[in-house]
Amino acid sequence: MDEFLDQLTKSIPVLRRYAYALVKDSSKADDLVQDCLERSLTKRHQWKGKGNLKPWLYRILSNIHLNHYRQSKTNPIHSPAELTEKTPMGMETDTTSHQLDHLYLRDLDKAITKLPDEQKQVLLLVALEGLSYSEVASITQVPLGTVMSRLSRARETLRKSTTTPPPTKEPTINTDVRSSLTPTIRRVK
Amino acid sequence: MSKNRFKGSELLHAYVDRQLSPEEKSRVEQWLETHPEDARLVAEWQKQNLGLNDLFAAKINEPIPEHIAPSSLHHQTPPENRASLSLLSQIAASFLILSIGIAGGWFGRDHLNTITADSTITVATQQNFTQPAMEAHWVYTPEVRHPVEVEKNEQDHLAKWLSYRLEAPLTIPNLTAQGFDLMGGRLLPSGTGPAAQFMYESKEGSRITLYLSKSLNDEQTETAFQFSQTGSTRAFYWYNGALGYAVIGDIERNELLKIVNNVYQQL
Repeated sequence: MDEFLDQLTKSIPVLRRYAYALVKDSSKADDLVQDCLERSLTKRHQWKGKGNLKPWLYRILSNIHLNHYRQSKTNPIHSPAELTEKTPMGMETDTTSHQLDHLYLRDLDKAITKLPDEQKQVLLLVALEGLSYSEVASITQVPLGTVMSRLSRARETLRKSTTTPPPTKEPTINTDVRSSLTPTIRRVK
Repeated sequence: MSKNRFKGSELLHAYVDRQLSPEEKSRVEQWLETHPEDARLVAEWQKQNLGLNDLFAAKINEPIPEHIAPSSLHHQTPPENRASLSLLSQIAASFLILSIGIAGGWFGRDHLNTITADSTITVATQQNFTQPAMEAHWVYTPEVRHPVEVEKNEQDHLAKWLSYRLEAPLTIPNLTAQGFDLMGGRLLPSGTGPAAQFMYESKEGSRITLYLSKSLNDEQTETAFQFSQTGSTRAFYWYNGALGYAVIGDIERNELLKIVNNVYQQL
C-alpha cells in the first residue's frame, strides 16, 4: 500500500477536528482540510517517505490557517461561526460529565475562540492533538521557548475566562443556579 | 534527550501534558505535594485538556464529507499518478474489510452505512480497544468465585508473566490511596494479540479494571486521556508507547479521573 496515501487518509479525522477547533465553523474547517490535503498532494515529493506524516500535515494546515486569517483580518473567520454554531461539539455525546459541567465547557468553548491564533494553534496541538512540545515547535516553526510561552499564556487566558463569572448576565441561566455552581470551579486566590 | 529540558513552570506544563521522564515526573509530584498553589494550577490545566477533548471529540467519529473524502483525492493529483491511485484505493478497500473484522461489529453498527471507508480504518485503529476492554470489564467484574486468573498474592509472578506475554514491561499500579485494593489479573485475547486485565476492589465492593493491549499502530505514540461511556460504565483510555491503556469503572467520572491520573503516574 502507498504509505503516503495511507497515512494521509488516516489523518483526515484528526485534521478535521483540529481545523474545526481552530475556526469553529464546520464548512470552513472542511475547506481548510481540503486545502491542506490538496497542498500535501502537490508537495508530496517533500515528504521523505519515512516517518509520521501527521506533523507535516498539521504544519501545512496551520500555515494555511494563519495565512487565511491574515488575509481576512477585517473579517475574522470565527466571528460568523459564533452565531451559527452555538452548541460546541461533544456536549450531546457526554451529558453526564460531572466534573466538567456545561457551564464550564461553554465558557471554555468561548474562551478558545478569543485566543490569538498563534496561541490557539499551540494549545490545540498540545492539549487536543497530543503532540510533543518539540513537534509543535517544528510544526509552528518557532523555538521551543516560544511554544512554552504561548502555551502558558493560552492556559492563563482560559483559566481566567472559565473561573470568573462572565461580565454580562446570561438570560437563559437562572442566576441562583449559576451562583450556587460557580464556587466549585472558582480558583481561590 | 537531556534530563533537565524544562525549567520552572515549564515543568508543570510538561507534567500536565505528560511529556516528562519518570524521574522528572516524580520530582514534580513531590513539589506539588508541598505547593498547593501549583497543584491547583496543574489541576486546572488538566481540566482544560479534558474539556478540549470533550468539546471536539465528536468530530473524530463524524462521517467525512464527500468533497474531502479520499475517493475525491485522486482527481486533484498529477495525471501520472492516477492509474496507480485507483489500484491503491482498491487495496485500501480490502484493508478496510480486514479492519472491520478486527474491530468487531461495534463501530460498524452505527457508522457502516454513512461513514466513508477510510475513516473507519482510523477509528478502528485509534479506539478499537475500548470496546473489548469494557466487555472484559462486564464479563469478569461480576464474578464471585473467579474474578481473576492470578491472585494478588502472586503479584510479582503476575507482572512478569503478563509483561512477557505483552512484550512490554508492566507495572501493576497500587491504588490503595484511592481506596481500591488489587485483586489480581488475567491474560485476555484481543485483536492485537495478548491483552491484560488487572482488577481492583473497594471496601464497598465496587470493582474497577485496568486493561492493557498492544497498540495497532507501529509508531510509538502518546495520546491524551480520552473518555468513553456506555450505560453507567465509564472509561478513560490513552496510548503510551506500544500499549493502549483503559481504566474502567462504574463510578463517577471525576473519581475515575483521579484513579486514572494515579495509574498513569505509576506506569
